Amino acid sequence: MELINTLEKEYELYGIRWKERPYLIMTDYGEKRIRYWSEKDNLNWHIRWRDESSKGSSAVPDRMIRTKSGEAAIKYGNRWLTVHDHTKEWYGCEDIERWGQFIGTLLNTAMSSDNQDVFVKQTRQPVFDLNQCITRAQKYLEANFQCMVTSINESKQRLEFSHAIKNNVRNHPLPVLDGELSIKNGRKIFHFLFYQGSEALPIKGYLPLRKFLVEWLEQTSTSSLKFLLTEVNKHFSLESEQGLLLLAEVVTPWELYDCLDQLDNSSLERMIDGLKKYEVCWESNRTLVKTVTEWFDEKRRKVAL
Amino acid sequence: MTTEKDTLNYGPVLFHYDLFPEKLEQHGKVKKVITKRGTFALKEAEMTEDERSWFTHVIQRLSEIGFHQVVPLYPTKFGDYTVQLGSRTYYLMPWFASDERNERAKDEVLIDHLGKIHALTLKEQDFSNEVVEHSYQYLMNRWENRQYEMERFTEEAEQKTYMSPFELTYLSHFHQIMRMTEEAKRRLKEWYETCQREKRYRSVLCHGKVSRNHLIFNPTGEGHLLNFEKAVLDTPIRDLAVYFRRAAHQKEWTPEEGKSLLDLYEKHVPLLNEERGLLISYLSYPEPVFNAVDLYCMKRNDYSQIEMVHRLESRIRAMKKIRDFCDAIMMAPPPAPMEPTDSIPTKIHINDDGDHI
Repeated sequence: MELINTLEKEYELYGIRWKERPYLIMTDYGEKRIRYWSEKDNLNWHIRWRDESSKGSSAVPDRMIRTKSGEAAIKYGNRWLTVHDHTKEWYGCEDIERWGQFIGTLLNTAMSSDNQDVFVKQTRQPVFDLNQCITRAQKYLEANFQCMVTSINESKQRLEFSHAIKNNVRNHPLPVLDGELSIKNGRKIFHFLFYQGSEALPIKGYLPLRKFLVEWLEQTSTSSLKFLLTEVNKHFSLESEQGLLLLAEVVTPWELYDCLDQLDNSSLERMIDGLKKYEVCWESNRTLVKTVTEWFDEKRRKVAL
Repeated sequence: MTTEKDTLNYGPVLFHYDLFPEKLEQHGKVKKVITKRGTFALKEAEMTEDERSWFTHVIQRLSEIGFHQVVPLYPTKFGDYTVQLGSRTYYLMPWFASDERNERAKDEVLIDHLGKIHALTLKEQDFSNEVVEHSYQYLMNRWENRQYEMERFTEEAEQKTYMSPFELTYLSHFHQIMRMTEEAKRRLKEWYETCQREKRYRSVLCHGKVSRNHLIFNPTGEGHLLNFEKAVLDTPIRDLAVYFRRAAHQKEWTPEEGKSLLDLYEKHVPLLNEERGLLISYLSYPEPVFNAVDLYCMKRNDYSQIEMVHRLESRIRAMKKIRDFCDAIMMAPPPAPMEPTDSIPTKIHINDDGDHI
């Protein structure tokens, strides 16, 4: 009850009761989510991107509801606490234009991060480690399993291509994005896209967007993915260096980690099953690379014409 | 009744206030929003980011300086005073039902409130020759160009064998209209010369869109101003000219009534001689008549000749009342001395584009 009392004291919310302790509450104004933050800098970063990306967009991120005194968060014990709107109804992937606009706005906000800010400077930029993958796959490579040999070779080529692109545009800044960008976070309120962000530490670069595109392809089709990129491009230009940086991230064989996780050599049966899953995982991710590359090629061709 | 379309359109806006509309009604440019939590007024506007932040700054600043007769803005649950969706900006206010009993007192309350705001924000600006010169030249050029267009219209009409009733009406008042134009220009030049000589001008926070429609009474009968979307730092004459020009077009309005309202205003801000001259200049310039000619030239197929003539005659009548009002202003006693302030000048506008009727 102590937390409920604090919330009633600090916020313009009435009739507060627990719905799912310690994250969900019911109020007279509907369901709200409580988020807990142990790092003030991370909290400030999340306040900023939510506030900024809501400007002018017809999609609404789950901004921090302000306290009676206008604060975005309150100190609770040794942590900070924020209150957000919450809904369970999924938005789905049908409204590609709305998603495209949201992602575009998000990228614009992500590019406008203060690069002199210490927290932003220290933001993690994940690096793909092919050697670690080769070590994990060593036994299979020695046994000369075809899918394994092909995928590792292709990974090497893709990584080289990715490095070549990155070298060409190495002086360009990277976006700083919420680490957990996902279709599942897209919810529906009043028929508009309500995006529930995370509390995760932000990530520098396009990896969160790559994961989002993988998810999009799983849920929809290649043509839908291309349409999404076209819509994003209307609000955030992918025809510039930023598009190349996204392409470099898409080409990087990140899926190799997931493929290797499928392997299990505890028995012959499991090993064969694992290899099958590995192959399926690899092939499905190749579709992403192919589709995104095709979209960029089509864009280039239109410009050339 | 609220339709599903209304809920779809306004739901994303009202979400920012945790409001679910039970009923939405259109009242002019405002939506009346009826909810379980009360009745609200939702205004839709087109504002740039700078205009939005200036608008909220003005509302907050008025409260800070002690002027509370402004319809308050409700903050969203995210602490913003406006909601931006696409190119549209929305803001929410309490709903005040119109009270017919107060209609008669509206002009007095409006001018009194305007005087209070101007008095609270009055600043004598450091003289900037460049700013005054630019403002003077800009307006003079605009007025001369407009005058030239009207002279051309007159010449073309005169060459016709059969003039239309509109053209005939216009031509019969042409010399009088041109005299007013020359008077406006002469007064503007005088204002410019006085500014040059005295090396001073004053600015206030102007409402920017003074109108009887922008004053409403709360349930206790207290008048509140609203719609500060076009608020601007400018000479106090800007608001006065907009108000009196609009007022003169009301049938019942008399120059005597105008004079007593200006006296009421001057209890808060006594006008300087050059400001009085600038007010006469603004009011004398027959822009409303010129606009009627523009409308005739551009949309003569949308209205009948009789409608066009009525419009023109009503504007000419209003200009005559304005001329009498200007005479009354000139006979006013000299204003009280002004306390100097130490503010820094920003800009001065002496053009009031778009405010003409």
